[in-house]
Amino acid sequence: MSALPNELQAAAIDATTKSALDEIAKASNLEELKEVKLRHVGDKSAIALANRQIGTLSAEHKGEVGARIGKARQIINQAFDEREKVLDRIALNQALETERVDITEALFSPLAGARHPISMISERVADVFTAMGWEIKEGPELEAEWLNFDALNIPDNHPARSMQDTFYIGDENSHLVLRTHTSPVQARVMLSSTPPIYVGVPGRVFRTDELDATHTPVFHQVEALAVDKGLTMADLRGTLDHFAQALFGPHAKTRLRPSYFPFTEPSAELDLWFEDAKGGARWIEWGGCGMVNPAVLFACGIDPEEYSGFAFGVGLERTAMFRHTITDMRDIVEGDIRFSRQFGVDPL
Amino acid sequence: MKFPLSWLKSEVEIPQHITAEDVGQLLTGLGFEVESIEYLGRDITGPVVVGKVVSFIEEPQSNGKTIRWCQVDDGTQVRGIVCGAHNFIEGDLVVVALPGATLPGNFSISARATYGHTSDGMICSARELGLGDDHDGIIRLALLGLDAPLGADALELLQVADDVIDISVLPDRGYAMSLRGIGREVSAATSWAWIDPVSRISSVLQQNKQSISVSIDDENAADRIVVRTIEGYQPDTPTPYWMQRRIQLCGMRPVSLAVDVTNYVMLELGQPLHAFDADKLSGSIHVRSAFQDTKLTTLDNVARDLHPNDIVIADDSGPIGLAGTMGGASTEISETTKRIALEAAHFFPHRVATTSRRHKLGSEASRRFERGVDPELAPIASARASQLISEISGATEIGAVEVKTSKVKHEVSLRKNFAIRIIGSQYSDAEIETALQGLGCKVKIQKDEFKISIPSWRPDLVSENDFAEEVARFYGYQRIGINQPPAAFGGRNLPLEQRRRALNHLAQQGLVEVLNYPFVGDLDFDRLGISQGDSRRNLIQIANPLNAEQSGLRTSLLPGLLSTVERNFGRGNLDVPIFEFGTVFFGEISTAPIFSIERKPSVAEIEKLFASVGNQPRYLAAVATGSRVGEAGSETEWTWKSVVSLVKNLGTILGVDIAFLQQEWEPWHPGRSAAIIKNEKVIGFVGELHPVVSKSLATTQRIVAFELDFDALIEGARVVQVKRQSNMPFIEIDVSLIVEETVTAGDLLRLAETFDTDLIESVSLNSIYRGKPIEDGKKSITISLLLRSMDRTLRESDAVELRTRFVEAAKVKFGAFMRDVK
Repeated sequence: MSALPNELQAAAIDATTKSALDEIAKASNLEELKEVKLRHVGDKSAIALANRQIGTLSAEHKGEVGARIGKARQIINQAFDEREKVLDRIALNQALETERVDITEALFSPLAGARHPISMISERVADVFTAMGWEIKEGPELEAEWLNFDALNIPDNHPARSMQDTFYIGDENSHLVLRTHTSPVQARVMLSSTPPIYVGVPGRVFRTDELDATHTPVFHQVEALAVDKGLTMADLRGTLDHFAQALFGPHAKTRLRPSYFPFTEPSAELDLWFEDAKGGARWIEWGGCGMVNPAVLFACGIDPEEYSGFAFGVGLERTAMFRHTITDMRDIVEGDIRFSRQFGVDPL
Repeated sequence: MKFPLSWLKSEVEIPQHITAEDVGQLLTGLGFEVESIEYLGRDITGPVVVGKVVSFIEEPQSNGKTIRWCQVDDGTQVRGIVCGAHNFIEGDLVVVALPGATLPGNFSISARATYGHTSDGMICSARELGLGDDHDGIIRLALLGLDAPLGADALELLQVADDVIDISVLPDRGYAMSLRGIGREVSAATSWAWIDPVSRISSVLQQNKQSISVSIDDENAADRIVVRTIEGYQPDTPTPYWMQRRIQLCGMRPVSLAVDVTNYVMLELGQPLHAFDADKLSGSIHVRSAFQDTKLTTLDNVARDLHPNDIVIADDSGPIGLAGTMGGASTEISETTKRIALEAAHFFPHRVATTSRRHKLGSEASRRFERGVDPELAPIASARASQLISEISGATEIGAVEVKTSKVKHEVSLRKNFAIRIIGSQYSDAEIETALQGLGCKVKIQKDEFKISIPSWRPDLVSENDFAEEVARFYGYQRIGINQPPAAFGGRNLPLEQRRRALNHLAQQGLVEVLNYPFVGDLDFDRLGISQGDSRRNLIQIANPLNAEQSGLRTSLLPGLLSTVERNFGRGNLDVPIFEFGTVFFGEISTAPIFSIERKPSVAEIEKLFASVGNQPRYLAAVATGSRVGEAGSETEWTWKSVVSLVKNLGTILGVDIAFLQQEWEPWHPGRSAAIIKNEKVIGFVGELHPVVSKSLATTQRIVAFELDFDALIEGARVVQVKRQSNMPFIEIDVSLIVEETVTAGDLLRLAETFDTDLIESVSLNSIYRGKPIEDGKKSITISLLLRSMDRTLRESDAVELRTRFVEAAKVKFGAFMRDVK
């Protein structure tokens, strides 16, 4: 049996393997690692050279040396792979670090547009009515005095009809006004259609108040009119509760207090239980409502013996002020873009 | 209506534990909103006692004041007290706060050294006890008609402590402007015992020749008047303190006995009364309308020009009082009055309302007459007042005269199911009867209906609905059930959806929605440089504008938007992109008809009514200036290009085909504006505004804007209708055309878009080039055409043929010729 050359002896292979592992461990980046690999398992490496000698060996040594070299390659390659993964990770981390940004820069950039809170409330209210199966109607802002007052059972000598409250158009005899409420649309609907009527009416209205923290001469209301066979105040209450919950959440509820309006009888003040009120949940005055006065039904051509109706109305400014903690009416009317931008395009 | 709880408690047997808040809640539930509750006297603790000034010495001080060093007997001892007032004499009974007492304002009384004495307490003025504003001197009990043993509790004597409830009374509830009315309501809702004070009054009308005679000359002014003549009046008789105190707690001022009694009876029963000095009257008393060009000086010493619609009380010399509102100065009760003419009437509400409003003179009397006074009260309330004056001052009523022109007896029938028909809740016959009786109705239950006699103080009860309200109110609105009305078929409203889509789109593009007032004036148009004679200056005028300079209704949204831009500039917001959707008002308005509501208007009348309000289209407009921050924070300016593409996209998202035609229009920049065209009609304008607009806002920033008729924009718009897209191969060609500067890119794009072929799938602007080798005054416009057929693969020859045809058309229409072919 011939002797093995030194370089193929187990000790030599082990030494080669050890030095390879040492250098792999020392490689501090992927470039160095590549060189180390070339040196230790490349074509000219000690292992490769040793491998090439296997063919010259006697059969008795072939198996033994082959297995030894194969094992050594496997150990080196495995160490290499592991080191490569580590160095890869380090390299990626370094690359990511160089791409670091101040993410908060983005918080200051785009100046978004916004809808006006009153328009959005108005649209939300319209959605609530539509979801109940009601129709949305609008009417003219410059309105016939008869529709704004007479048809609603507001007599000629009523204080609301004085020039201290109502904007009149043209000369005294034009009998035209800037509508003081959305209610003339009720009359228009009743005069031009037949029951059943279920309509929601959002719109802009006018009264001769100077602008201050709680008043504005131009504001918005939404009102509801239902005329059908057999409607009662219980239907009014049910509708109001639903309406309040749709706008103010599932805990909202409404309360009615006796009141007086010429166009409704019975009439009631509408209070809203407002959970998120500043200073704690409480009742707040929200609007007015009642059963349509038979005189109004009659004037609008509907037989009060056959039909009854209910109506309610709320101010949209007031509603927006509750929902969004707006404390000064002037913010709503002045058009300061910083105010409206807080709302964005279609917020809750 | 303001009243002390103590008075209500003397009318209604209110259980001891019931507080002012409880009463307030009860009244709120009945429809009388509580404005306030004042708790008087809770900030005072005794000892505050009745004392007598035994003697005093006046001592001038170095500060110029003279104080009185008083010896005061408090019933237990005589103590020395320093007093600054001089309105009393030795022997006067006064109110003394002793050491240990606390007065309003957390003012503790103790013996203290002042002006060289130890002042062992304080002699009090009315204001120091929270009894009104009087601080001219100390309280002299004798002047208040009060007498009490020395040392007696003065707080009790003066009725300092009370809870005062102020409620608002709705316009249809005049009866509640009195303790009588409130007492009835409270008693009815609780069943606490109450006796109508009217039942205790004997109201005999004793005729006598010496009585002052009376007439109603205008039957549209009043339907009842009573005048009682009283002799032997002692004008210096003090009003009893309890009466003064009640008047004061109800928010009025005690004046003199005769006046105080009339006010007291008004507060008690609700009937305004007036006392004339009978010796100052000439002849008899008449109720009538005022004559043209007459004057009256009212009690507040204002000389008033009377209007023929005013109602007055007159004697033979002329008007002596504004009926139901305020008496006249010439016949006022004075310190020398010996004979009194006591007048009580039922004036018609709307006449008093018009009279008092014309003179801007609201009074306790007019507030009651406006809401309606019980027409049966005049003889009763005047009897009550006459009796009080007589008892207190030793006077005698020598006779009374009454004129009554009508008496309406109210009896109505009520179907038994009325409450459930209107309220939706079940009330038994007995419950309904109880409720209506509580209001003062007489009720007879019959087979299918109630027969109801309506009390004189409730003229508002007419229809079934009125009674339904009373029954619901009596048992509380919270008893009304909750029901869901039947669902209707409503559904979508396309114009509203289109509006919302358009406005949301503008907001998404960075614009902020605003809502401006629709009031404009000439100055607004001057500022925009809009020429005189422009139809937009033809404004519908408001008769009573808040601001005379903006008395017209807007014909454009631009003035409002520019004012808002200016306001934003003023607040440091220099980048202002805003838009508004709103009504504008055009054209000639006609006279609107007025007709009776006793019948439905005819179809022709309704048409006239609806047509009278003129044309009120809804416009959409935007104004933008400054920088616009886009994607990834990239900043650009708002330019004519950005605003034109804004409008173009608006058309796209609404599914409306709009075109742009370069055109001059104030207030836009003459070279940078276009008409917005839909169906061959101009519906608005877009572009950069004229530099005069920037100048008027004191800015060098360019301002861009569009304004369009939104109703016209969406008219006939349909939901998106798709075109099938071809899957065949496409050919892209560019066409470069040299044209005069006057020809716009839009002209060529439009030509391509509407070209007579079905091979052009899309059109876009590629580039515009000016300069060599193109001669001055001309430019080269390159547009890209994407060609594709629905059903076949295009050949090169198709493209060549189309380009040739297109170039030819451009040549014919715009004088264009081809630059080169790619």
